[in-house]
Amino acid sequence: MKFEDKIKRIDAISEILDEGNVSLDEMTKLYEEGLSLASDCRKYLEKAELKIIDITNKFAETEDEN
Amino acid sequence: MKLTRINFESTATVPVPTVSQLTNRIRSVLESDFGQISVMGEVSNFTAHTSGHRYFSLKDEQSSISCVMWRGKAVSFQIKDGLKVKLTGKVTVYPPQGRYQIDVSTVMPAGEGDLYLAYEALKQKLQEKGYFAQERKKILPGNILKIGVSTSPTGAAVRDIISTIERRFPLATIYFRPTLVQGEGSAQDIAKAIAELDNLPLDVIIIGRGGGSIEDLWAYNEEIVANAIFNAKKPIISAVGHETDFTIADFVADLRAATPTASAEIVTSVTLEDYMYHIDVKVSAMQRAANRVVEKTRNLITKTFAQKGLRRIQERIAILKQNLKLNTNSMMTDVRRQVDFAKNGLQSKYAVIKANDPKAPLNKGYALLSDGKAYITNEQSLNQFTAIQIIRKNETVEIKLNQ
Repeated sequence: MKFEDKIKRIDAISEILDEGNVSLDEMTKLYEEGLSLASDCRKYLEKAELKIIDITNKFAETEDEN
Repeated sequence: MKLTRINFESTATVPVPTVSQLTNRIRSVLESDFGQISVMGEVSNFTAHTSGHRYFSLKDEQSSISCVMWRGKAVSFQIKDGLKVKLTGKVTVYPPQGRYQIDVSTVMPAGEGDLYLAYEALKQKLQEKGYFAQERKKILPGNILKIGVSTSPTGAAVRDIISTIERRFPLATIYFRPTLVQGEGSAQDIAKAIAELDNLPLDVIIIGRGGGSIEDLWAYNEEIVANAIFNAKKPIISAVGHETDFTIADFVADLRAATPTASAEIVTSVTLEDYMYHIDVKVSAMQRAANRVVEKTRNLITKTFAQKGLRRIQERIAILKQNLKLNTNSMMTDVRRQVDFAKNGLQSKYAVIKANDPKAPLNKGYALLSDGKAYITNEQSLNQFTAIQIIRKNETVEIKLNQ
C-alpha cells in the first residue's frame, strides 16, 4: 500500500470509529489496523529521502540545436 | 613577345583558382578566424522578408556590415532602423555576391533604455493577448509530490530549491532539467525545457534562476519563453532573480515566487511535519473512540452479571448478548459525541491558532503593511502615512510615500 493510501485509510478508520456503527470485534480490528498504519507512516516519514531525477538525457536524441 | 610567353608559362605551372575556390578559401579563413562574435552597432536598412528572414546592416560612424537573421531565430522586440543593438552570430561569406556578413543568432537592445522599451512593448502586447489574465492561471494541486525544475545546473538557484524541498518535504521527487539560463540560445532552451517537463507526469513546474543584471535575466523576457509558459498544461511557478526583478515570465506564469527558495517553499506548503501532526490527531481520535467503547462494554458486563436471579451461566450469556445488542446504538451515539467533541476541540484550536497568525499568508507570497508599530488595517487609508513598511516572509522594507 502506498503512503498516500495509508493516510487515506487512517482517515477512513478514524471516521468509522468516530461514527461507532461497528461491533466490538470490528472496532478492535480497525483500531489495531489504524495504529499499525500510523506507525508505518511515521517510520516512512522519518526515513523519507528526496529523489532527484535528471531528465537531461531523456530527450537527448531529439536535440537539434544548430 | 617574350613577356607574354613567360606569363603564359607561369600560369601553366601554378594553377589559377576559380572564383568559387578563392571565395571558399576566404570564407574558411573568415569563419575559422572569427567564429562566434558579438558586436554592437546601429541598425539600418532593416527589411523583414515575407519568407521570415530578416536582413539589415549594422553600422557605426565609419563602418557598416551586412547582417542576416534567419526565420527560425526569435526576437522579442521590434528591430527597426536607428536602434542600437548588441548581437551575436558568426561571420560568414555569401558567395553569390562575394560579400561577408554576420549570420545573426541573437539580438538584444544595447542600451538599458532600449531594453526597457523592448520589455514594455512585449509586456503590452502579451497583456492585450490575455497572457496575464488572472482567470487563466492554473491552481496548484493540494498534494504536490512530483516537481519539475528548470534552471542552471551550476547556480545557487538549484541548490536552494533542492535543499528547501529536502528540508520541508523529502517525500517529493524532483525532475531536474538542466537549462541554459543566459546567453545565446538560452530562451530557446528554456522554452524547450518547459515543453519537456510539461510532458512528464508532474504536479508543478518551477522555472527560474538566481539574480543577475537585466541582460542576464533577459531570456525570461523573450516571447518564446512566454509562449511556452502560456501553452503549458501544468501549473508553472516562475522564480527569476531577486524579489525586485519582474520578468515577462513572471507575469505569464501561474504563480510568481520572489526567489528560487520561495518557489520551493510554495510547492511544499504541506510539509512532512504537517503529515506527522495529521497522523497524531487521527491516532488520538482513534484511541478516544476505542477507550470509550471498551469502558462502556465493561460496565455493561459488570451490570448484567450483578443482576440477581441469574444463576445459570447460559442464561447470563443470553441476556448479556441481548443487552449488548440493545445498547450498541445508544452506546455508540454517546461515544461518537465524545469523540467529536474531542476532535472538534483540537481542530478548532488549531484552526484558530493558524487563522490568527498574521504572518501565515506570507508563506504564500503575500505581504503585510505596517506603520512600524502595528499592521495597517483595511479601515486605515495609506494617505495618512508618510512612510510604511512592507513585510514579506524573508524581508522588511521601508517605503516613503509622497504626500
